[in-house]
Amino acid sequence: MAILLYCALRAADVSEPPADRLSSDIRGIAGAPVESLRTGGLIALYSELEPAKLTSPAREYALQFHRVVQQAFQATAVVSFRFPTWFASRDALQAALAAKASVLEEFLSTHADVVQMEIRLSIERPAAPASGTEYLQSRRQAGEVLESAAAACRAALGGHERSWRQRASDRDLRCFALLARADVEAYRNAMQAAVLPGGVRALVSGPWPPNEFLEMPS
Amino acid sequence: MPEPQQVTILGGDDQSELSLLDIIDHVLNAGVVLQGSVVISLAGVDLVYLGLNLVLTSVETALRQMQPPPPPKSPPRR
Repeated sequence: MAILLYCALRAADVSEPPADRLSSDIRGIAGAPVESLRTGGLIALYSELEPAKLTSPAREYALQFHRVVQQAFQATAVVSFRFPTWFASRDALQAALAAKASVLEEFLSTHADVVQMEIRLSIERPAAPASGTEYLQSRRQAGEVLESAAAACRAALGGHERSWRQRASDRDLRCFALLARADVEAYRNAMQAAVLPGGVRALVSGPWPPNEFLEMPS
Repeated sequence: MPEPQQVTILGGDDQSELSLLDIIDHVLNAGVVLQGSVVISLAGVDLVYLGLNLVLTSVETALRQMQPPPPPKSPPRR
């Protein structure tokens, strides 16, 4: 058996053991119970599983993982961990969490009322550039257009964002907006009406736990 | 004058394939990493990781395929 970690939340934010509430509403991966482990002021949600028995497509487990995290996230601020994060035992999980507990608690405390919205911006590029120079020029131009689109997405927030981050990759530009839970619907509506540069496509998702704004010391 | 753009809003009760793929992409890539504590020596874990690598590849491919095709170019005038 091994421990699969879902997310962590602040003990001070819940009035009862969260596992009791969760287990009655939702099951964990592969139908396993969702259990809780307390480390200082932190509560971690996990399931005990046998990895060798996870024979369904990984896609199903990823979606089940998401449902557990969302269930907790709808009730309180959480930090979700990358799927899958395994531990050999509860003791191993406890030790790993204890090492980061103060950082996680502080973050959850200061981000208790905010969520993360994500905007994935992409633009179609020429399939086969004639030369390396043309490729680099095309890439630079695409980058400039995406930056302009990101500015428009941020403007749609009307200054309501608590913070904003961007991350460029070869394929797209991802934007992360930190905003109050109450502002999510208004932002979705604003994005529907946003005017972006020609050729740009935007995929807006969320709300998510504000993981992008957490800086974990190594 | 900017051309009409495409903004897709995911979330809520959206169960579309694009929404599900976005969720999977997020779960695999956006979670916090607890350094130095992932066990890789349990029997069966390698199989899970291998499976997830395949999922990741198919997610990226499928997300690219979900993008609508560019509008056809006008044929050159003769």
